[in-house]
Amino acid sequence: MAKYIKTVSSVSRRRFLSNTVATGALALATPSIMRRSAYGQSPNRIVFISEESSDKAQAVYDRINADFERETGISVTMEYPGFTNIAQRVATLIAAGTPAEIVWYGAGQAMDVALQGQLADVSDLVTKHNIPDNLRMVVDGADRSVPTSQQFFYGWYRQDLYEEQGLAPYETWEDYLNVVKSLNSPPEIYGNVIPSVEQGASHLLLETMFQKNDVHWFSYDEAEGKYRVALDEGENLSRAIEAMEFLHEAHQYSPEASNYNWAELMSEYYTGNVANSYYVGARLLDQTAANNPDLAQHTMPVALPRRLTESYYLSVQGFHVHKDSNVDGAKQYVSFFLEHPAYVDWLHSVPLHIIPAQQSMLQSEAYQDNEFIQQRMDVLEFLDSIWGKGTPPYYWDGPVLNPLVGLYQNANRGGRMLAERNIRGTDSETVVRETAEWIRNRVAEEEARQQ
Amino acid sequence: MNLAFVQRWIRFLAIAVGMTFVAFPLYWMLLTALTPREQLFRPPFQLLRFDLSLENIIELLSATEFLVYLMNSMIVAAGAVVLNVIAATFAGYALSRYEFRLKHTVAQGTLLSYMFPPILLAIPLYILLSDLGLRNSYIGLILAHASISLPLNIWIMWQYFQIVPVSLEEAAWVSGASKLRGLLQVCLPSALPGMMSVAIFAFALSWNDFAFAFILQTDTSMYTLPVGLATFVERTAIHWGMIMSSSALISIPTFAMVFLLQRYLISGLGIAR
Amino acid sequence: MSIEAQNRWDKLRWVGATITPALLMLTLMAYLPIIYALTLGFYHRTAFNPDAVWTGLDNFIWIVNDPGLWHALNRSLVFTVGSVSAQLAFGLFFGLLLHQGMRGLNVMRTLVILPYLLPVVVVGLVFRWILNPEFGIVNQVLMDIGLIDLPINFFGGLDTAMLSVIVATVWQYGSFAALLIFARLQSINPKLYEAARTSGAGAWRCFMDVTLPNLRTTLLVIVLLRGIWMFNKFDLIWIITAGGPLEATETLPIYAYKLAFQDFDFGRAAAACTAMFLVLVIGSILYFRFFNPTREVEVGR
Repeated sequence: MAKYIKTVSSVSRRRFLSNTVATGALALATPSIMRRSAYGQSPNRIVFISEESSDKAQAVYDRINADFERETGISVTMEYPGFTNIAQRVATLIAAGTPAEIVWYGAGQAMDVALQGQLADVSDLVTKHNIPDNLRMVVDGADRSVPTSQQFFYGWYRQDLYEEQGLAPYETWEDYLNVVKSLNSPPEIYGNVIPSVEQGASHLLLETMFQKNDVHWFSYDEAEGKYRVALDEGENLSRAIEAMEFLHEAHQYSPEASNYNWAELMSEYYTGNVANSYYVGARLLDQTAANNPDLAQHTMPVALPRRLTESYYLSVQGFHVHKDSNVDGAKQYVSFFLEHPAYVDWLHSVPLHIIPAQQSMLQSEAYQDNEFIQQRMDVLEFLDSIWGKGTPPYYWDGPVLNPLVGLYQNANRGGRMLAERNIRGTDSETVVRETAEWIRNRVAEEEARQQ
Repeated sequence: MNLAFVQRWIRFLAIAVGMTFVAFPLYWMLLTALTPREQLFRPPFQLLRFDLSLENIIELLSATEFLVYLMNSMIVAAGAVVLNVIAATFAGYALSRYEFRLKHTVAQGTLLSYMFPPILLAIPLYILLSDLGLRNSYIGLILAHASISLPLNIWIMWQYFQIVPVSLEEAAWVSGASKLRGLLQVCLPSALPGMMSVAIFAFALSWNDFAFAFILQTDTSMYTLPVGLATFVERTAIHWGMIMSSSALISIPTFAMVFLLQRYLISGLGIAR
Repeated sequence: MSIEAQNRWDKLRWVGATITPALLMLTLMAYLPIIYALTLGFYHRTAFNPDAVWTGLDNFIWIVNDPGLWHALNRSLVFTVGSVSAQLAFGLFFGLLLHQGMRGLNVMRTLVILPYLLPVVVVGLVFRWILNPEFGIVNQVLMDIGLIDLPINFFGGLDTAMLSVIVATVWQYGSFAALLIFARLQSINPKLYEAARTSGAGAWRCFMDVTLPNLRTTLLVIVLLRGIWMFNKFDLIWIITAGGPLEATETLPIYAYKLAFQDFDFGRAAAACTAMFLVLVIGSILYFRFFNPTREVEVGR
């Protein structure tokens, strides 16, 4: 038996070798064979991928799409891949040569696609719909995003617990630590929650605190017209360390949170496990109202503690059109959507969380005509008061769009910094320096590649 | 206290620990599914509770297209099972009965498809199946799922047919039966446990699959359970009651199916020797 | 045609008919995509740009020089070996157990098989729920008994994460081994045991001389298949820990995934996947040489 097998193997080996050469040749040609040129999209059809997939939002899409088809004869196919997998979906469609006409998701994510030169110029739409300047995303001299909504990163707190202890909502970093310490009595309840993990919620927390302390990851070199890493230089370094130490101390009054992300920021709050939380918008309030209604009435918004600036981390979402698709149809759709009366209903699918791009819309009667919003006009007024104070990360370090932001954002490096400090216990200075080095290496690699 | 007594008690203890390990997560999942919503986030939890409520399940069924996903999953799984049983039985038979050149290469080659991490296979697969017009169709997904479990199942059937002695078939051939008949009437009955295993694995790998189903089924009405569940979980940002109830609802039909089929796993050792 | 030629032709037709459909399916669904992905490693290709630039071995050189790859490989080996051995132990335990008659066998059998039939999302979430430091029942019970004072963050602790993930995989996939072993045990001719017993063998001898040799092929196949699958396992780990905390559970598949969908560099991700592929191919070739799991066995005739 064994002898037979040996013989079989050596015969196979010879044939295998010749086969390999043939396969190899074929294989090396495969990517070009399998890459298809664009199908020449049909002018009567658009594919719309949306990150927002709640039932109410879907109902609105269905309504608007039906009206759109009636009016223009263009049919709209929706896809809801979900937040985690939307980038994969976009990449798959581009690779297949059939990119989706419209993708609605974060402008920060779309920036990765724009930097590859894949997005269409939508400057005409931006002008037509009066989009405020701080929401725009300009790559290669043109707008690539039509913002429909934004979210600020701000805090939520338990007013009932504050009143019990005679505390006032925090304003400065010292206030914050005092409040959080007073309310901290584990294991029944923790003062706050500081997620310290290489994921989105953690990363945004760090970015926000950096913004509050005027820390810049990059500096803009006007002469050369490009950005360079500045995190470990001069004032940036000392202020970054301050911010990290602040978050480290706050972490003492928090569950370990070494694997907490957005969901936990909300669930820890509405289960009464923490007295203070944060979110990139009002979805926390929405979820609290759904899961623990008694708590919702005591849930108040508050600006995250300021230090040197009052800036807010701004998250922008909008429509992004692919340049090799049915661009005309897509642009028609975007305008139709923004002008359709159901646009307000769409904003209402998660009230006060999906905030309109224009302040006029926020203050309009149509927008405010919603039961949930009427009950919580205080939140609306809060949002009104912080309007315009938000900065998206790609405009934080300079006047021109910073294309290098993705290098550290996509990997949620800020969250990793917090994890290193709070979970592993590395000291702040080392963490900041190592991070700066890491980003520098990646920038150098990018530049080398583009030669 | 004699040896037999101790042995029996150790055995009993071992079984108890083992079954607890296996059954407890299932039990807890079921219990959480039936726990009223307000109780869910107020630890400590009772290990046994009687204030059960169907609200999570009702909410799940009304808020999502759960039943549609369930139907899609079942159709695709059934197709994958049928394809697998047929293809694996024939291929396994050939491997066990015939010697031919490259036989071992073929056998080892089938395993090749498992050796590449599926992460990057999503895109070429999408392109291929898109070109063949198999997106958002049952057939496309059935083919994809069948191919996941096929190599494994070929190996299983190959192993099974090794047990069935050729002499039995020879007896059948001598009495005038054709080769095919010999296969169907003699080999299959004793390979039945193997075929049941094949069916279970084909079902499991199809039922469980997220990667292929996500790539190929982009229309929400064609979603299978894992895809529907994943997008649903994302949306509700961890509503444990609903998640556990959807898990429980997925488990119950599979539990029933396995319970009914498992006696076929016991070999009918009616092979006359 | 001579009888011999006729027989050969017959045989070829049979072999062709039986093997071809399977091969066709596999070629379409598996081999072609694999070839595509393998060649992708030789190009510079970002996720959102359909153009690919030939870069030869650059991607491979980069990943070989990246310490992250080697750490991930290390973790992959730890995970694979740990998980597969635990699954084998689980499988042997339950396979043997279910083979013996006892009350409630049907229910037990079904329960053991059930975890394998649950979607990965379900298993991941159930385990996250059960082992949650604040709301998990396991921590609650452990604290009630008095074994621990503070809850253990199983999936979030630098030391406990890998072990906890292994336990989750054993829970789900152990039944694979159990099922195969059980089904194989069922097919062992009881006369072999009778023969052994009449020649005076006790339980242990029966196990060693009859059961184990007959199980040999099955066990080898289980180790091979589970080894390949656990080495490539992505979804369960991703759902539970996403490679965290601080890469404690970042195995090679997760490393490759991050290259593809965080850095959006498909070329490098393909290179990493190719590396994994080569490890497995070489590993299985060696495995076949040493153990030869395809040697056909019926021991005891």
